Amino acid sequence: MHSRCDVRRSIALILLTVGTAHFDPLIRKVDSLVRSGVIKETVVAQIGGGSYEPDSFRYFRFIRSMEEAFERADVIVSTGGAGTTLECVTRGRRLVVVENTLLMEGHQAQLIGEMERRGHLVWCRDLDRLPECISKARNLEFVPFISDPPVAHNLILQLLTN
Amino acid sequence: MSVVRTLVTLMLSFFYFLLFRPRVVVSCGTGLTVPIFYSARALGIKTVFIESMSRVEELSITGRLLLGKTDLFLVQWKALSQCTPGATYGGQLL
Repeated sequence: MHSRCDVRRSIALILLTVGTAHFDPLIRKVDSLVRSGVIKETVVAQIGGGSYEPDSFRYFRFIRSMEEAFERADVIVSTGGAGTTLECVTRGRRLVVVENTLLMEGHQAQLIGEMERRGHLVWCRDLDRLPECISKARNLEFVPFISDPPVAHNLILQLLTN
Repeated sequence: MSVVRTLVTLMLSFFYFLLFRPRVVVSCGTGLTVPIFYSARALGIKTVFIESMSRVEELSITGRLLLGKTDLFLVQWKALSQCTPGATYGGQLL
């Protein structure tokens, strides 16, 4: 019986996550990269509602909380949803984002771009370059994103007292 | 389909606002916020829209529809508030 720390030190773990949506192109691509030996790390995927089921690594569809999975992963590959992005960058996780181009509203680019400029994630714009992006992320130091304190509640209270 | 949903939302929100008489309605979207805010305004209830944090440079469609039509319009990025007349910076909600 290995402890969690032993497992973590022996083989790097790459976690793929699509959040509440689905993004088969990413899962399919990584499946072929693992099969052909380009990606040698252990891969685990959260595939959401996707219809493509990988056969070269373990996967699950949904889980109540991704927090523990994020913590155990050496590199997280996500599809750029606001929830996952913010959860990872505020904790300084090694995050690679492949934008989910299947979603109708292509607004994820704004947040991904801002976080990339600030150095909180690696934006992989070309799925073919994913292995490079992953190794780039493994060698980078990610500083946690510190958000501004909210003042919205005070503004709403002010509105009510006026 | 979305026309029906909009009308149903408009009527339902009007009914609930009449019933509960809130002092303020706060929303972060989606598009169905538009009819809800119309009901609220018709009844003199204050409205607050908070734009999503994923909008760094540009407002959402819902945001664009509601800008200038709410009592308070908050965005979560300072730069966006500076280039959007009518928008106020409300800090970041994380």
